[in-house]
Amino acid sequence: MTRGAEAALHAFVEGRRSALFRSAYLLCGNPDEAEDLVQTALVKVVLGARRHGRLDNLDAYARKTLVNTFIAGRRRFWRREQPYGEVPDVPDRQTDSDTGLMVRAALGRLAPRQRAVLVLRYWEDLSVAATAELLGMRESTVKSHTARGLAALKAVVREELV
Amino acid sequence: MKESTGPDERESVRELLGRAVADVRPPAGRDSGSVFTTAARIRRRRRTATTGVVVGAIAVSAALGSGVLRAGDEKTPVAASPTVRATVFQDLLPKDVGKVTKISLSKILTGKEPDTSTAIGPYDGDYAVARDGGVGYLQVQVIDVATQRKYKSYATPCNPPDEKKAAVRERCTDETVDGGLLSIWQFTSTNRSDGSMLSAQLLSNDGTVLTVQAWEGYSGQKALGPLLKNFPLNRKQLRELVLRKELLP
Repeated sequence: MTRGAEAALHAFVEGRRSALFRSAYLLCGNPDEAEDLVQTALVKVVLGARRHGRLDNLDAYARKTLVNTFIAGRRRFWRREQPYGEVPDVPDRQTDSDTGLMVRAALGRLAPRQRAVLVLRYWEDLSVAATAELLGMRESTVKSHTARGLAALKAVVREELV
Repeated sequence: MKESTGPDERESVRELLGRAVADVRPPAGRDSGSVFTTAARIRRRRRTATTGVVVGAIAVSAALGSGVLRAGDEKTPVAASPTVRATVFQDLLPKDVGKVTKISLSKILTGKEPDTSTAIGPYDGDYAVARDGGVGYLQVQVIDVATQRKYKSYATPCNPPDEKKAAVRERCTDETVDGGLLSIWQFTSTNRSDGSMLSAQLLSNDGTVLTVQAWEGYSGQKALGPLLKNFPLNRKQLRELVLRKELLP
């Protein structure tokens, strides 16, 4: 890896850490787990970048790694009962405003993939096509997840949505 | 299903999501440097672990002769062969455990390569255990939590901070052993398609955590066979396995 690429990698990790943390927090609703998700994703990015010499789009790679790590952690029983890592699915009730709490509670009730779709589409501002590609699903599935996710959000915070 | 979100609604949703993260700050304790430190440690340990498996596999191959490998396997690189790895791992298990095969549950169930970014043990991975017409699984993983903030949660596996986890951990026992704390607990599945699981965790004093899970298995389209009628390893056997130094890096 060249010195320039190494410097770019350091700058990326330094600069994107907070933004990735916010996305991770929206996904999992727990600051400790969000921190772990970001750490795991960034470590993978660093390992991947060093293995391949360079990565063309670090941001996209990190985003994809973050979301896939989150979804993988929520899969089947054999993953959920891992004795390492505590992954409470309930929002932290000691912080934030009522609205924030309601939104996190609503997100927490969604399936992991639906949550990921909402975060990617509305927080990360990705298109339907880009979201579908990142999650490895069809565009129609992204749209249906979006519709269901929005409906759930509206049901909980009806007065906040126009 | 049709998705119909206009610019206004789009902004509203984004604003809502923004409120959800407005007051949240990352927990203190980690900085960007820890990412590179962890990555360097994983690379170093992967190399060491690979070397360990290579040496172990070659030693077993030399000791047992070519009869260990099936006909036609002669050209398979010994170190990379899952067959050899399973053979070496099986040597650590009781004789009557069944036929052990190296597999990847992640690959089977999700079609994706397993996440090995935090695994550092030479035998880390998934193993299918076939006996009495059923197939169960053993999952081995070693991670280093010494530098992680969640170290505390490993220290009390019988009383995990997460109430959901605490509720499903049955018959949890703690035992101080040479070099660490050994805990064993059971999860009884209420789902017919998933078997129950016996889990063991060895928290070493140096912050390394070894976990081994003995799972009765699962049924369904992607199952390798029917569920085992009992755990692949019983409590005593699992305890003996987790105390084997060979599983640690």
